[in-house]
Amino acid sequence: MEELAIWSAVGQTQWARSASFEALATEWRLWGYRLALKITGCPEAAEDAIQDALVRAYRSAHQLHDLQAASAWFRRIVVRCAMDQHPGPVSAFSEAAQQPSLLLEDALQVRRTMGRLRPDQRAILALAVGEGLSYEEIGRALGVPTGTVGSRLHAAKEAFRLAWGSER
Amino acid sequence: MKDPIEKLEAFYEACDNANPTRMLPDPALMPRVVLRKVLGLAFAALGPVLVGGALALVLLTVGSTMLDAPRGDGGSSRLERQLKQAGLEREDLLVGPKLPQGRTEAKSWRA
Repeated sequence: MEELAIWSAVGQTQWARSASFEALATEWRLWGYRLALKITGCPEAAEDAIQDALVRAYRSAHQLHDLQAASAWFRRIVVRCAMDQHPGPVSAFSEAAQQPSLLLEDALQVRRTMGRLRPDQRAILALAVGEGLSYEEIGRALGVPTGTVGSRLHAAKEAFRLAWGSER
Repeated sequence: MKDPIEKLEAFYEACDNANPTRMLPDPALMPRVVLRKVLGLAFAALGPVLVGGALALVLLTVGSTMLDAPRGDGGSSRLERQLKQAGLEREDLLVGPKLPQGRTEAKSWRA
């Protein structure tokens, strides 16, 4: 397993740590950025979130004991960093404009609507609807009991629909 | 009307095609790591200077207080001795020179 090979080098020397971190960061940065973008809805905030997440991961690598759970561990860091970001002014980003099933006007309205939700609501929508994770994985990523994920997700969807209606 | 959640799904699909534009952070050049190193060096370099400065300030304050302290000539300080030599009271410094008894500035203006 690639991740195991990467992390087995971590902690030996500073050089080894930096080298293995770079390999890890390259591998995880892309999906981390996309997840952060789904939570923030803002490319600039997502860039800040992923940079923050990589720094945090680098500094707290010693806390990672279960190597098999490395992806989930990093996802949790990304979610936390993305939730801490304050999305900038609403504007469309190029990928949204290129998406055939999404009109530019709709993309802007999605971002405006997301801006009216709480960070935890945006995060649960991104993890459930955007990433298609199981309730258990969402619970771990958000640090909430699995049993409450369903009700929180339902509430977040309702909040989104309500905010969408009032935006129109 | 379509469920807004479908719009959200389409938005998430667009996010799946997005790419970060910034460079990958080099662990050795990460802002926080660098900031910590710079702050560490600054404190290491400035620490003795700051402690020395604070000590010198304390010594100067104590020294000047001792110089201004009463000299044992009836409890008067240097300021009081100077006031006495000039024929003034402490209150003169606070309220300014006294006007002649029974006259105010307003009366003198009418006159």
